[in-house]
This record gives sequence, structure tokens and C-alpha cells, in this order.
Amino acid sequence: MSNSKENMRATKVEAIAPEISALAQKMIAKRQETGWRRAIVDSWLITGRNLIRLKRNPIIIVAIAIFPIVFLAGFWIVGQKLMATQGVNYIQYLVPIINLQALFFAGLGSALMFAQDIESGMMDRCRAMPIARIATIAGLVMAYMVRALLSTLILLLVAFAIFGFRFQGSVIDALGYLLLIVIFTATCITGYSVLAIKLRRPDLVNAVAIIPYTPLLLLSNGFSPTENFPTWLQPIIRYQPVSVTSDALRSLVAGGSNSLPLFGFSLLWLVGLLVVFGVWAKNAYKQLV
Amino acid sequence: MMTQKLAQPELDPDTIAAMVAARREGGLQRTLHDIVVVAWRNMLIDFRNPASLVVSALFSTSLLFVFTASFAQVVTPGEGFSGYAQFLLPFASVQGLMFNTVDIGVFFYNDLENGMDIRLRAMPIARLSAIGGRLLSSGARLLIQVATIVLAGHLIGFRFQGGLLGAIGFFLLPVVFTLSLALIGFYIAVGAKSAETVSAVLNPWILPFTFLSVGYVPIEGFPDWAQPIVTRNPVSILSEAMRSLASGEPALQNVIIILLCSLALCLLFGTLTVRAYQRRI
Repeated sequence: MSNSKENMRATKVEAIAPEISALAQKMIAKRQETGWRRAIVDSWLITGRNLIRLKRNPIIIVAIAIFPIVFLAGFWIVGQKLMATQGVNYIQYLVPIINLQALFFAGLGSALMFAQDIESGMMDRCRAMPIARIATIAGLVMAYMVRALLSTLILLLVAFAIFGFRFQGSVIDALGYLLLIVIFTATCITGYSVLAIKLRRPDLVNAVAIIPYTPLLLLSNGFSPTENFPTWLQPIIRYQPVSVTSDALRSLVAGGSNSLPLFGFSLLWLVGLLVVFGVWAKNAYKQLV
Repeated sequence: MMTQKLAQPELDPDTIAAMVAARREGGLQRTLHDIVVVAWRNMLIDFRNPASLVVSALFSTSLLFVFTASFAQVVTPGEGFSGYAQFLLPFASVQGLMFNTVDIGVFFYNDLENGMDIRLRAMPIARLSAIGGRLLSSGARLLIQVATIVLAGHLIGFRFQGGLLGAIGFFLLPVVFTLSLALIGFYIAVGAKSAETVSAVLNPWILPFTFLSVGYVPIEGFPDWAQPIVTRNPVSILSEAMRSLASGEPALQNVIIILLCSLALCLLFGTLTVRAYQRRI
């Protein structure tokens, strides 16, 4: 009795099977998970979601607006007099590295959110949904890019209005400054996303993420000119990426004619690192599940 | 039949009082004992998952190294790096400990939030043991941090020149002061709605206090308008006291000021924290 019923069902399934698979093909085609346009739309959607998350976090005002300004004011008060004896106008010298630091902290924040998304299952959810694969990563990068640029804007305005910082370069110099800022942010976020994918646990990421800060930001010529470091350290200080980038930013601010080689050198470092981190992050992300 | 077995036993007020007395939840000895037990539990968690302990110790050490490398020639031009290390190390450890108060506040928030506190409240132990235990284990954590930075500082020329008593004072004074600061974090943690709130409220205050102190540079390096603020900043006074303790100069006045500050903070925020904690559930 039950046997014949099962047979009937089997023949029925066989009969409609070709139709089903054709239908499934159509449905998959309709979902359009791939393609450029889909990738952009989905990335934009995830960006919006991340921005809402950022907006609802109380720490964000502190991170975007207050932190960079406090650092700027602090280093300025501490260093201004002493640097003046060395013939350095410290506010002009300081703003680029404080800006890079703000971008660096944006990268740090992105790692934390990425790790939270991995832990809470948001990443799994995104994989299960009919959206472009790239959207999760691109959404993260773009949301934190918005945060970084907002932070840069506030910092430069305050530096201009309160501390007397002046941009002396041309419009092209300003565009160069902006370009370096954007690429530096992208490199930071990509580099930190590797950390987040490898560690996965938010508390661990939170503890470890500060480690690159000291060697990269503080052991650079951003806060103090290279000549003030011990002689054996000077070659490293001079040619490490953050030093090169802050050199380039400073020369763009000053508007001299020698900014082009520095800009090129900085671009080379940042794009090179971006490619390395990007490939690494992509491979690590594939192995995530 | 079952209901008969479960019938209320004869409990007159005297028996109840005797049972409560037998549990001995109060009393100084019991309180201290329970605080130590909870503190040991907290420290075991730290040791078995040492990422945050190690990173906070290493971070302040790396700040010491980096600022010595980059600012020694600015602050003391023409002199060696070890002189600046001697100057910077007390402040570098104070700064590291102050950043750690944020972590400590977040830990206490997690204690309250993850059910640990409810468990403790349901157990026959002293009421104060959740707060006291966290405070004691934080003290151990801070002491480890100071020890790390002193050992690391030895490599770049930091030396105790003031004998054993000065060295002991050097270790204990910043820990006492930072613990009284941590009580502010505790008070915020009791009322906070998320761990982020705790760090968002605490973080912005630390940097101005550390920057506006005779930590990185001597008082002459500051603009004239800032100098009166800088000399009265507790962080400056603490750094000066520790410098004197390390080099064997008289430090009594600054030490007393710091201890009085700590006492005031303890009385104010200790009371506030305990009262808020009692009302929490």
C-alpha cells in the first residue's frame, strides 16, 4: 500500500523535475547575485546598515570628534615650546600625523565591528542571503571611510579655527592630501580586517588591535623630526610607511615644489600594502566558514 | 503523603536567627576572607586568558620606549637617553595605570552583567565581596603592570637610587591612587547600560590629565597660561612624588597630597558605588 504510494510520488517528481530545475535556473538568474551593479547596490545597503550601527553607539562621538582634538591639543601644548627651539612650527608639523592617527583609529574600530559581526552570526547571515559576496567587506570599508573622512573634516576645521593651522598648498595639493587620506584609510581597514578574521573574538581584537599603534604611529617622524631619534633607529624611522606618508602630507600642506616625489613614494607604500593586505584578507575570508 | 513530608518544619525566630548566625555572612574577618576568594577568582581568569593583562603591560612599556626614543633629544638636547628614561618612567607607569582603569571599569560592568553578581548575591558570602574582590584583583593587575614597566625601564637606564623604602613606595603609591580612580569607573559601571558607555565616559578624561602634567616634559616646556594648571594636576604631583622616591629625594609632601586625594576619592566614590550597588536589583 505505502509502497505504491511512494512509487506514484516518485513518478510525479520525475515528471516535474525538468520543469523545477528550469524554474530554479530562472529564479537564480532573477536573483542576480553577481555583476557590477548588484555588487554596488548591495555594498551600499550594507554600508547603510553599518552606518546606522555606528550612529547608535555612544562612543562614536568621542572617537570621531573628541579623541583627535584632545591628542592635537595635548601634543601641541607639550611640544610647541620645545619644538620652537628646534625651529619647527609645531602645529603645521603635527596636524598630518594626528590626522593619520584618527584614520588609524577608524581602522581599529572597523576591526572590532568586523569581529562582532563574525561572532554574532551576521557574516553567516550575509552568506546565506542572495547578495553579492563582496558587499560585506565593501560595506565595512565604506562605512568606516565615511567615519574617517568626517573625522578628518572636524579635525582640520578645529585645527584651522582654534590652533591657527593653515593649508598653504594649491587646490591640486589639497586633492593630493585627500587622495592620500582615502588610500591610507583603505589600507588601515584592510590590514585590520585581516586581524579581525584571524582572531575572530571581539575581546581579543580589542586587546590586540592597539599593538601596531606604537611602532607604526609613534616610531615615525610624525611627532618628532627624524634627527631626534637614536642614530641606529633613524633609517627605519625615515622610510617606514607612516613617516613617508606624513612627510608627503606635510609637504602638500606647505605647498612646496618637492611634494611630488614624496607623494609618489607614499602612494607606492600605501598601494603596495593595500594589495598585500587585500589578497591576504580575501584568502582568509574565504576560509572563514 | 508527600505533602505531609514537605510540611513546614517548626521554625521559630530563634532558630532562624541561629541559622543566620551560623552562616556568618557579616563580620570583618568573613568579609576580608570572601573578598580574597572573589579576588583570587578574578585573577585566575586574568591569568588563564592573559591577552588583556599582557597587552596593557606591554602597551605602557612600549610607550615608555617610544617616547624615550623620540622626545629625549627634544627635552634634554645633547644628553643621553637614560636621563630622560629616569624622568619619564614614573609618568609612563602612571599613564599606563590610568588607561587600565577603563579596562577595570569594563570588567566590573561585565561582572554585574554576566550573572556573576547575581550568583554572588544569592550565596552566603559578605555583601561587599563583589566590589572588594574586583578592587583587590585590580590592584594585583596594576602592580604587575608597574613591575613590568620598571623591569623594562632597567634596560634603558632607569635605576632606583633611594633604597628599599623608596622602591616600595614607588610601587604602591600609583597603585593606591589608581585604585581610588578606578572607583569612579565602578560607580559609572553600576549605572551603565553597555560596556561601551563605561569606556566612552572614562576615556576622554584621561588624556587631558596626562597631557597637562609634568610627564613628558618639565614645567618649563609648557606655555605660561598652562603652567599653574600643570603644577596642580594630581598626575603631575604623583609623577613628581615617584621621581623623588626613585631618586631618594624627600618626597613626603607630595606623597601625603596624593594619599589625601586618594582618600577623598575613595570616600566619595566608594560610598556612591556601594549605595548604587545596593539599589541595583
